[in-house]
Amino acid sequence: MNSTDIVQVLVSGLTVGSVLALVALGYNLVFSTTRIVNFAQGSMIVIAGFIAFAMTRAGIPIWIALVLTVIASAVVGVLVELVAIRPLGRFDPSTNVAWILTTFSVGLISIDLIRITIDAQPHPLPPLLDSVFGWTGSRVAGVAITPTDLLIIISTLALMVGIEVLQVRTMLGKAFRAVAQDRQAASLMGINTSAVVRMTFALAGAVAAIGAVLLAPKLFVKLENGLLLGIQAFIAAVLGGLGSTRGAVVGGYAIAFTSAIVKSFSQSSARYEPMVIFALFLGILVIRPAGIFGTPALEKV
Amino acid sequence: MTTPTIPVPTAPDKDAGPRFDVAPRQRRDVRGFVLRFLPVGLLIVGILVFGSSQGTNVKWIDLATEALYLGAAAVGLNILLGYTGLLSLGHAGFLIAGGYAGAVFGPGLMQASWVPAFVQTNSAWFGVPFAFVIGALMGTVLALMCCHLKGFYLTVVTLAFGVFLPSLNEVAREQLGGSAGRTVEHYADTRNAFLARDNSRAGLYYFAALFLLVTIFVTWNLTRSRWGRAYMAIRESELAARVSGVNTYWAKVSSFAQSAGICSVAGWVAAERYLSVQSGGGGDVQNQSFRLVIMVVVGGMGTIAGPIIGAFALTFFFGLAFVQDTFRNYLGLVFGVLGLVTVATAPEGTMGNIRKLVDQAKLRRTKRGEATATKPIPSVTDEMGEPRPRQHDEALPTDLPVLEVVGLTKRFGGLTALADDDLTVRRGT
Repeated sequence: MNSTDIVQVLVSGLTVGSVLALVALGYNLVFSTTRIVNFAQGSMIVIAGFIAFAMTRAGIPIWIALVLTVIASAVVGVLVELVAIRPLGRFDPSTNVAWILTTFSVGLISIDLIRITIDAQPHPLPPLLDSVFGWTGSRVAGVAITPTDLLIIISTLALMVGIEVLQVRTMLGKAFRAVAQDRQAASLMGINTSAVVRMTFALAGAVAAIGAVLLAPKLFVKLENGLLLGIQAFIAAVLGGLGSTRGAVVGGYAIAFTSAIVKSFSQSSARYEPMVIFALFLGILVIRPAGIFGTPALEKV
Repeated sequence: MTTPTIPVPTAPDKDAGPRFDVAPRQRRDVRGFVLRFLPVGLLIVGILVFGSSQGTNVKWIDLATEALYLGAAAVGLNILLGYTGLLSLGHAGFLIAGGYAGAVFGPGLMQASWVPAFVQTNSAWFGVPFAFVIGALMGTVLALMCCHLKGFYLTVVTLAFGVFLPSLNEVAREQLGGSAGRTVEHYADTRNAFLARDNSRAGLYYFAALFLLVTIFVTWNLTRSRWGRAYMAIRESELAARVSGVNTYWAKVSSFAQSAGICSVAGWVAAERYLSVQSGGGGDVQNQSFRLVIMVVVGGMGTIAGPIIGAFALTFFFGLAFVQDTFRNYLGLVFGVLGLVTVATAPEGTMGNIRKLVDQAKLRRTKRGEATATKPIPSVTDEMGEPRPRQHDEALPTDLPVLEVVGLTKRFGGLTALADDDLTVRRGT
């Protein structure tokens, strides 16, 4: 392992980890109030990406497009809740797993709708930042670092802190936690529980939009991203502990660094990467199903 | 002082038909027997009629073969999803694994010199049990990895299994053949198999039909066995099942193994149908597994007929409506909408709806004329009208029922505890 490899592992681990963490934050927001995993989260990123693409194609500057996409994507999040969760009525998400099918269905439907109405091609988005104080990127030990990479890392950490503050310090966050703990009791305390749930879906949509715009310079806007990011970020969320914001970030970095290290060993070791991640995932689920930062759910009898 | 005479009910009019003395059990059993085996009989007749009339129609017979093996795979998945209540989103992986194991590797291994000549020449057919065993083993391994998990964590492991399985192709590119897959070299000679006459497609069709019938038989027996009961107990309440002495962990593992084995054999049929096996991308396995689940859900979980209806309907629907490749794009859309609508509006699927309709019709019939015409509900007013000390008088006919229940059905989820039962409690019993 030479210095190029080490820098490569560091850069790739940090950026890919931030990407996964960004997506995982979306899973966590929804899970933290409803105890369900929104399997349409990956598709929501694709939707947001295509919304942003449509806007920039129409000539809207990227920063304004970002703001508009965040709003539009929040609406998409509310729609997902309306279509996938609301019809199920009251149910216990830990035993009745119908929500897996409905959120999964919504994800598939939205991908197909995009394929039919727009197209299935990968599209580029202009980067949010071309330069920071004149710095347009440099090479460290032969590894390229761009302002986009830096922006992804910084905004992920900022989002993590923001969501953590929101959940711990504000009344809304308190309402989130109350709904998560006991929906009925929360509603008796005067919390509009369905509005809170809708709120988390909207926030998840907004996070997906930020992720989509940030990732576009690296990964493009394309349909395959939904599944690819969706499943890896989900594994990151489980690894860190579903519902834990810190966990999502730690899980994202853990997976990204693992895969970067496996890839760096030799030319051919890259093909073992999916296996290693799957093994890591299984290992965590055997040793600690609730994840690193998660609290194990108690079985009510 | 004259004691009031107790009115003696008149003897039942013989011409009005039997009242209480019929043997309803016997009569119902004939009807029940017919009703129970009529669908299978119709299925067999349909298979034979279709096979003999469309045997040479390449398009239709291939579509029917696909419907049959997907139906069998859906029945297999239903053991896990409908009876044990575990949602797996990676079962299409077993179809692929079964194709590789049964149609490529198994027959390949059987070409070794020490293998008896009979096995060597029929190696493709011996691939069937091979596919089942390998599939069941893989199912066991997957189950051992996920059966200690609760609720959706289990589903997630199966999902990840389906997504990561194709990446084996990266590791073992030579054996699995990369994205092109492997062609089936030692394929089964189905030209004169079963009822086919020099028609390999029809032969495979008949094999798929036989496989589906065997699957139905096995599943039907399973649900009436101790193991099947344990599965259903786990579905209703895992805790209650454990308290009742079911080893829930091993029950779940065995359920996994069986359904994986059945799906693997379906994969063998698929491999023989296309004469090649591909591992596909991660998304393919996931989407195909989802489609299998939707077939089961749309048809009706926890029933035998449900998954078959779902698989047949959806396969033929797509065969008819989506011949052109442009329509392939709508696959996810249609299945997604179906999944949403079914789960939200009819969680018990088609079979659940049919059952509901039948129950309602039965109730209406009982309430209307039929029950009173043949089995009048006895009047008990003369006994209850006047309070008086109970006398065991011989004058009272002992065959006067004190309680009569007609057409009682009780279900616990998909488990029918009582089906259209009659109960008559007579005096003095």
